[in-house]
Amino acid sequence: MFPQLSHILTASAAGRQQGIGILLCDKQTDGGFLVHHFLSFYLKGDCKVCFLGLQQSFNHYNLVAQKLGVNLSAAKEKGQLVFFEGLRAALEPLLDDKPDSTLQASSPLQFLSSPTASLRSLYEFVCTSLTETSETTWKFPVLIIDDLSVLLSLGVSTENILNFMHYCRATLCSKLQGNIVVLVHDTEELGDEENDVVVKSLCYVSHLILHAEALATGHCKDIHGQLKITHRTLSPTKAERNVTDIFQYKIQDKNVAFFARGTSSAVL
Amino acid sequence: MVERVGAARRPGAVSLLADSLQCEGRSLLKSFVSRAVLRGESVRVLALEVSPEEFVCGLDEEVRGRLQIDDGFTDPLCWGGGDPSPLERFVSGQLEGPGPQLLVLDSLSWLLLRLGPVAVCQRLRQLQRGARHTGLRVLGLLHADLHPPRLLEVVGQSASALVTLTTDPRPPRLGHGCPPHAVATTCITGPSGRVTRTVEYITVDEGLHVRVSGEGIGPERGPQGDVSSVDPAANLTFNLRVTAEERRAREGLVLPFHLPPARKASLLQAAGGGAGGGGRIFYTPDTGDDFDPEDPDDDLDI
Repeated sequence: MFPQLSHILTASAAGRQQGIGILLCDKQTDGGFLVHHFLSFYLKGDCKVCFLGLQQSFNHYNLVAQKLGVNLSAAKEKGQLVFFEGLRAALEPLLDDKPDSTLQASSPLQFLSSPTASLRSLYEFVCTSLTETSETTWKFPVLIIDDLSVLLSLGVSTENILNFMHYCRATLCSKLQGNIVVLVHDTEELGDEENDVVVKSLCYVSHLILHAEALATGHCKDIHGQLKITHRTLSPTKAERNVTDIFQYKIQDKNVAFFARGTSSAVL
Repeated sequence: MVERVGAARRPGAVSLLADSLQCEGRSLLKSFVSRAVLRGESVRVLALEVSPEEFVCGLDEEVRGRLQIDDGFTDPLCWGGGDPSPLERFVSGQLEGPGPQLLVLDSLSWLLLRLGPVAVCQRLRQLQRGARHTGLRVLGLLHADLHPPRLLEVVGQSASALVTLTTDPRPPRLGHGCPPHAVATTCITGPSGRVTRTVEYITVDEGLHVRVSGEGIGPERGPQGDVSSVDPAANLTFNLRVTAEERRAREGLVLPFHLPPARKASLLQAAGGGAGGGGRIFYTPDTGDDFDPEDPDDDLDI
């Protein structure tokens, strides 16, 4: 995890840290570093993590996690991490010649065979992964998805994606008091209406929104982007406004430095 | 005016609260629900977007005890099997039944994204028609930035009252306490079809009390003649306008290099030797001067 980002999030968070939804958005930049932060953060925090890796291979996440001081293979072996490698699992239903085989029926990605199908199988996989009892007692369950926009690209409808996220929220956040961390791409200016509906719908039900975007002025060697952190207070007793903080960041080899706008070491 | 929406008693009335990401409306919805229950009305809430526990959080114990909540959040699509979900019962018309006077939908956007605008609008019309016998009213929460503007127009036409919450465009003023939470634009369509539109600043305080602060900032015009509510000449350090007194003083001021007709006439009169004296030139020609009045410059070769 990135110590500065952890400090920023815990210092300014005004509410609970469990039972929340965290939305990661990236716009014209790669927000994958946020996924790596939360993956290492929750593994170091003794949480049971179910990671749906739809964007990259397991080795990619493992290499980055090792730089952050976390061994994903060891976490898998002791049952703390359930890693779903989407790239590898996607081949099984596609290469299976028998349409009625049990392999297809049990695969979490069986919707690839019929895009209009719901994501119920994927949801059941997540539930099974996080509700399995084991000898070790973990703090609370966490679901991390990288990234949800891949499902839209695979032809899954907006309704099915929203239903999947709804059920994950109902089970993990409300019932098990766990957290959900989801990465989506913000395509507001590109005219992708379905993606925009998914992003905005998730914004409404998220307690914390981290929006990484490229600098409006273009590429900079010392500042790689800007991170907008929005805390949606969602107070139950009165109306409150969202609290937004903006930081700039620079991605280094084993860390990401965060600083207030205009205070980059290259500028000062 | 916004409080009239929450207190509406007309059977078949469909009231919508349209909020956005920057300006949430669930607190106002819960305030209306709380007031309806305390007035003695039978209120039924279809909780779809948030869990029933989260919805009742912040409500008084008395209100919680008298509120009827259908849990459409935990298993809306019956993935876990079992009885028909409240969503299915809402679609099939089994939810309103005899009894509730106010049906609260949290949220209508959730239904629009799953059922589509046609099915939802048809369902609302069925509820309005059936309200003649049941006396039912509907109150729904709508997330305005989730849907295209045309869809919002269509759904808004199904409603007899629409409260749109937007952020306060005015900059925060020091020493004036907490700024209002939102600007509420309320459109109420009466039984005769007359539309009343007002704009107010509202805040939902602790305890879900709605406070209307400040004066209404007036009706907004349509798209053709939009008038910005922000006056660009409001906070200038110089004055763009002049008072009547200042205008008179300005008109009476004589500029230094401007020769008005009155001043010109007085100068000419003085030069012509009139009363009051003037300048005169006395010329005494020398003995060597050959002053010829017909050729004063002596350059004519006559």
